[in-house]
Amino acid sequence: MKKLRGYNIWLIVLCSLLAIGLVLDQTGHLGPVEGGIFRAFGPIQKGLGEIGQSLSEVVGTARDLRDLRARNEQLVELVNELVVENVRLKEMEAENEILRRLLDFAQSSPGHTFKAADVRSYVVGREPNNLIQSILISAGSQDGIEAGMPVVTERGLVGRVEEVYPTLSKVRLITDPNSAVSALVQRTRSTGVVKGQPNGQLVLEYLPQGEDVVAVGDVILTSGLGGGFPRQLMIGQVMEVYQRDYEMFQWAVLRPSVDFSRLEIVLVITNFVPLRAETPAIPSAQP
Amino acid sequence: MSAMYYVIVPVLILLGLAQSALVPYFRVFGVTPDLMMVVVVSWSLLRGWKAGLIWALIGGLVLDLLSALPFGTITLGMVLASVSAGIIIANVYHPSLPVVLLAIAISTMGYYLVLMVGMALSGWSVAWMDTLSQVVLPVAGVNAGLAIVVLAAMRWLYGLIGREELRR
Repeated sequence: MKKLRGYNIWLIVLCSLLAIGLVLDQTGHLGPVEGGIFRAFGPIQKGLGEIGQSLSEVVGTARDLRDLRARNEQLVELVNELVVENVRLKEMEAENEILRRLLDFAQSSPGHTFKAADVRSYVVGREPNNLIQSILISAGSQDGIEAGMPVVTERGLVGRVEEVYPTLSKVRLITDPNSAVSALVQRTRSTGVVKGQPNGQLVLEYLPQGEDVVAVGDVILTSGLGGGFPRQLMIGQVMEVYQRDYEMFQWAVLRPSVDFSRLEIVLVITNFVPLRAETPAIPSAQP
Repeated sequence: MSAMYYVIVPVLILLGLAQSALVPYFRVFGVTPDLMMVVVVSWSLLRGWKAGLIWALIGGLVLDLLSALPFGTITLGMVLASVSAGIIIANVYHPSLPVVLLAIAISTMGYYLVLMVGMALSGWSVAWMDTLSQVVLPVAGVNAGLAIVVLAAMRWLYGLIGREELRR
């Protein structure tokens, strides 16, 4: 009976409150009641909200962490791909620049026919001792390369093809001690011979004695004499001049126009046939 | 023949390729160290001239195949360098490091002398004094410096081979 009474009391009170609330709402007087309730329970509501937010952030962080890790891996992979692509594009850009310069050079030399080749000098063909200066290029007999063909870049003369294999050729550089190139001083037209030195330097020898034959800064070109190389290929520039009155000739040290330590792509002049020295035939006496 | 040689042959081939393709990047005083020659001579100094002779033949043949010099020139130079170094050191009581390095330097000069004679006999033009002063002397010093590192590695290898032989 008591339980029932207690239950009935609660039922009556709640229904009454509901009715009161309905009446107040219809009459427009519920606002102040609601305001009072919020003011009373506001701090508790705020505390609970902050707790909920923290919990939500913790749960969200774990989820975000998983998402971020996955995203990070994707981005790292993308960055790696972009780095590789960037390197490849930079190489292409550099090669493009070299080829453009070579093309400009080839177009400005309409009398010659060129065959391009990559230099693999530091990969396979570098001479394994300090006595010979030579490189290996990736063009051979299958590409129409023959021994004796000159090798150049847009900067100037590199050397001459020495030995030819099916897909590779060995090029003796002009800095090799056994290399000799007929040359002339562009300004004065004096002729001499450019020879390589054991230390890789270039020396212009057999210059005639006299005033104003050669000076520091003079440009040295191939003269074409002897038929070993085409004319007017850049060799280098004079750095020092050595002239002594008691010697027959004066000589000069050159700075090569080509940087042999940075050779990447070279051109082989394929339509130049070097003259080879021949012993003249002695006619037999008529009987 | 010891099984060790089946390992040494590919190693010396790799060394020859490195001498041709990799070592030129490391020029010191304008010259390239002769890694193969230093390794071969160091082995001769440690194990005697007979052991060094085999290494010199293998290493020399590898370099001859890669070189434009007359075939056999480098092999001959390497054989003479390693054998002479081995014989000289064998006759020195308790050789010290400076003596060993001096042997390397002298072997280098002998090696290049043989190469230059081979070139001259084959009709190549050789600037003797310039080559001696600009190439041979500097590379003798560079090779002696390189030998400090190479000898340590060879000594370790010598110890390894010695233990293998004792086990047999």
